[in-house]
Amino acid sequence: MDARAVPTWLHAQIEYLRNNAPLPLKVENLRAGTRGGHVMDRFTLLVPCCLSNVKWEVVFNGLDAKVAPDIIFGVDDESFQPLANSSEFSPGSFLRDWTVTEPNSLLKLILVTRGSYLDYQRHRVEAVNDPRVKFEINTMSGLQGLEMCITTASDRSEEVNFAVPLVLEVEAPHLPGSHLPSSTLWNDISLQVKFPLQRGQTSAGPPQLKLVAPPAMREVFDVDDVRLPVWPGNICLVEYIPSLQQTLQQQVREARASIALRRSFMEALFPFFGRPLEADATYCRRISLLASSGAFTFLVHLALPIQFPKVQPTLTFQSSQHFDTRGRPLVSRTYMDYPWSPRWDAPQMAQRIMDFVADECIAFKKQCNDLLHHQR
Amino acid sequence: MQGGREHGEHQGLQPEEQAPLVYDMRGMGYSPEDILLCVDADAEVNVEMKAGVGVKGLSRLDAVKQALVLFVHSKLLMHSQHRFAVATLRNNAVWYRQEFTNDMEIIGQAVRGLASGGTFPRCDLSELFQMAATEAHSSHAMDRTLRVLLIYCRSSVVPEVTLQMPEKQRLFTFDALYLHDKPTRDNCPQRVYDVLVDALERVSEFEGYIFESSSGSARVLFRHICVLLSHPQQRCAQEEFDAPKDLAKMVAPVPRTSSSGGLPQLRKEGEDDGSVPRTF
Repeated sequence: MDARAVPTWLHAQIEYLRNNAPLPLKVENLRAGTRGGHVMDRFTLLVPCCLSNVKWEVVFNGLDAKVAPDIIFGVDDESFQPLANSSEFSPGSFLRDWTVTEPNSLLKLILVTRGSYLDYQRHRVEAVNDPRVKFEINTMSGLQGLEMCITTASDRSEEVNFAVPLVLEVEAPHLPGSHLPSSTLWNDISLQVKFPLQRGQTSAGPPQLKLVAPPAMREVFDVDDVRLPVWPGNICLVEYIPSLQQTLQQQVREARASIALRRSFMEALFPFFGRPLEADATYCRRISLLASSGAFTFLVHLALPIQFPKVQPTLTFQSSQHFDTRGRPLVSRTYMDYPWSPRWDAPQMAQRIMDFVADECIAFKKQCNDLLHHQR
Repeated sequence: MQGGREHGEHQGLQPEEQAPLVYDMRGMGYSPEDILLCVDADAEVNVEMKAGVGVKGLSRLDAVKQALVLFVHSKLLMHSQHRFAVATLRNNAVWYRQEFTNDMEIIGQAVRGLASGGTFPRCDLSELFQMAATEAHSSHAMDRTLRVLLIYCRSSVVPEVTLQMPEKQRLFTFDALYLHDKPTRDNCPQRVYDVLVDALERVSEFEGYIFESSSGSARVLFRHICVLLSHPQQRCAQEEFDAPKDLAKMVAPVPRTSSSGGLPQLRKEGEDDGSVPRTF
């Protein structure tokens, strides 16, 4: 973001939003109002709703900090009228009392408008005249953090969506070195449920189910790998969730155990290779080592899969002394097939890797020398 | 070589009293790095390196450029989100490419474009430290850590730091690589080295590392820059850094079991362990 062209007061509002939002709000396409204009005072805001993002355009007047912003909603939300409600904590009251003296005004406005938007969507879902949807709503009203909305699919048909955060029991210690508290990581898994509507009615079969997790989680756990329990017959969501939570709980437990195993393995490399150059201390997925064999100095990069130790780390050699015609250091193929057993303890794994590296680096050095010879 | 600077805390310990080296990942940080590469622009960068097998007419600057490409490429293999910027050092540091980027092509181009700019009889590092401190604020706001890697080549110009950084403020890590001529009556590489060590200790947020060399060997330069790859948040003291180990000479260590308290014994024969010499 080019701060020089954004008015200071607006920059403060946007930075506050970026650093303090309790949800992943994303500011994009910060721009001027006219082509070639110098005052950047409008942007696109991505607002999470029901596990996907709605796009709002937020338009300020860069020349006048006292003027409240306009918010332009999406084309499908023409019937969303947040100003119709003028009660105390409505968007209308925030706009009426707009001031930039505090840097949190924008964030408060957005959160309160989002709240109104979620209410508007809830009313749309409640208006669907389908017994199944009505039954789901009635049984779910107690669920914490539930969101619902109607979306229009690409073929213009409508879908009723429910998003339910799944509460998992997360036992004790948090991830090594991570600045994310463990609750943030493991309790952000949600279930997204879609009921497609045909002529305003749901079909008889099970709804479409999908687990959704923040992208960072992919480093330790892939929600797409989870096999969802079968949706038996005529149950409702509230009855389905406990068995899903149990399945997920078990898989999360295994993923956490794997992180600990990856970490022990990485620590076990130290007596053999000396101090690593750099290790992924957050998710324990990568580590790089400096090694030598006689006068040949090289690096070894290891990548550890989520399914470690069942699946072995991949290994890549990189020379410090051989360069290609573009000046880049020579790198080996990725090794995935060296001797390995998940039943070895960490020091044995480290020992075997050292043995393999000590042997294979000779071949790697020869390959590098041969390549350089051909380059001349 | 006389008059080397000694460090009291290292003098007192006998080898057998030193605590065993550990590598414990709990609580270890891991932020992507913003690395400011600052390369000396003084004419001494044109001094020739030692001729090796098939290597002739390589200047210090040529070798440094190659080393920096090795460095950047290696860092990006470890984490694709590390970023780099480039500055040159004349009497003061001057930006060459201020915007941090992780684009290998762009950085490669910037590094290849470096050239010497004349003879600079003075060197003040204050500007470099202020540039770094300013950038560090932006880096920290993005949960990144800032590092300065200085490559210095003057054998007779002792760097100064005329504007001292506030003692409590350690915003970035400072590493240095010093290539110089052998000591003679007319130059003072030892003094230069001492000043760089001092600056490192005053300014660096995490452990700063420093290497010096008068051998003119490109291979040694590349090896030093590989050690400088180590992530500041995960470093030990330089004297304790024990990689690379020569795998050709390794005797397999005794695996550590819960009953044996000590660390495995490793045998190294005449190994250059790369620790910081205080005099040379």
